[in-house]
Amino acid sequence: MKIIYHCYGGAHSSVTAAAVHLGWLPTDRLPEAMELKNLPYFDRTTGKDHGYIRLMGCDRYGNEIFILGRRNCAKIFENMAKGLVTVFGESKDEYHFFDVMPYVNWKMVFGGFTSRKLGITYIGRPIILAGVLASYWKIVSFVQRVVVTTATKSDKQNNSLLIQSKIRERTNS
Amino acid sequence: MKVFYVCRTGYHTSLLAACLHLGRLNHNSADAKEIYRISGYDKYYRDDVGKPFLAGIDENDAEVYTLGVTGENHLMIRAAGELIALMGVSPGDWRFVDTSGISSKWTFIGQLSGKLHLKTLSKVFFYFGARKELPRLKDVVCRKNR
Repeated sequence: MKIIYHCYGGAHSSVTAAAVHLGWLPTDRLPEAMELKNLPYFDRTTGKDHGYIRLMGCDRYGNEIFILGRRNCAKIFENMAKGLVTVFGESKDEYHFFDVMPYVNWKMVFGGFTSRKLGITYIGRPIILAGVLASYWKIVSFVQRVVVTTATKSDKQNNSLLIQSKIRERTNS
Repeated sequence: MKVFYVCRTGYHTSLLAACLHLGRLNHNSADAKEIYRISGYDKYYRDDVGKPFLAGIDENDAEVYTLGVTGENHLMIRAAGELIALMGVSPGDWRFVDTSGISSKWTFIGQLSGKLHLKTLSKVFFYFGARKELPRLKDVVCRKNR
């Protein structure tokens, strides 16, 4: 299964959500600033990186976790992505897209603009970190819902595959 | 093979390009009736922007789609290419053709009129826009098919 977290720039909220999903950030306490700064792609992407789907890692269920910066095209991207999955005959349960923008606060917006757009990282980055910590628990609960939803879907898929293989075994014997 | 024609809405300029590709329109002359007879033309729903619309299948069995991406054509084409690569599809099996640069100001004014619910006026503007775009689209479609 491929899970894509997307946000405006692919530099803050989606990276944080992906890191929580992969277990790189704690779910029982607030992370330290250095833990966030050490995340790959955190507050490092620029406008040229928008549109590129980047692999963050694989979770404990073997699902590939990706991030994407898609500016203000959340609905368009999801419509397009789901449409392309259908057009190319892929299973809809194989690709999941999650918009992290509802969990972004004004500090992250302002800090992100200052750091990424204006290039003033020494002002923007502390504001972003404060913003991420303010929204952290909301992002954690969102990611936990995603993990449960996708685990349930992959269980259903595995169960149906198991049933099919058992039926085949019985008919062959 | 799948060909995606891309414009702002997916139901105007890109659909004209798709119809030229499929041989349903003549680039030299197309009257208003012919243009509005195209299945899906100006049937734009805001919630559907981004969904690929199947225009038809050409003589080489290539599926021709249109795609609306509002103003972010480069970004969405890039993201679409990345997603298709993730699916493991060979690069030779798909192609994106960006027709956003060929959209005329008449089409844009028609879209604005449509947003203001001036349907009849928007139809007039779309017709003038289509007449401007067809000769330019013919070059794009022919070049891409070579």
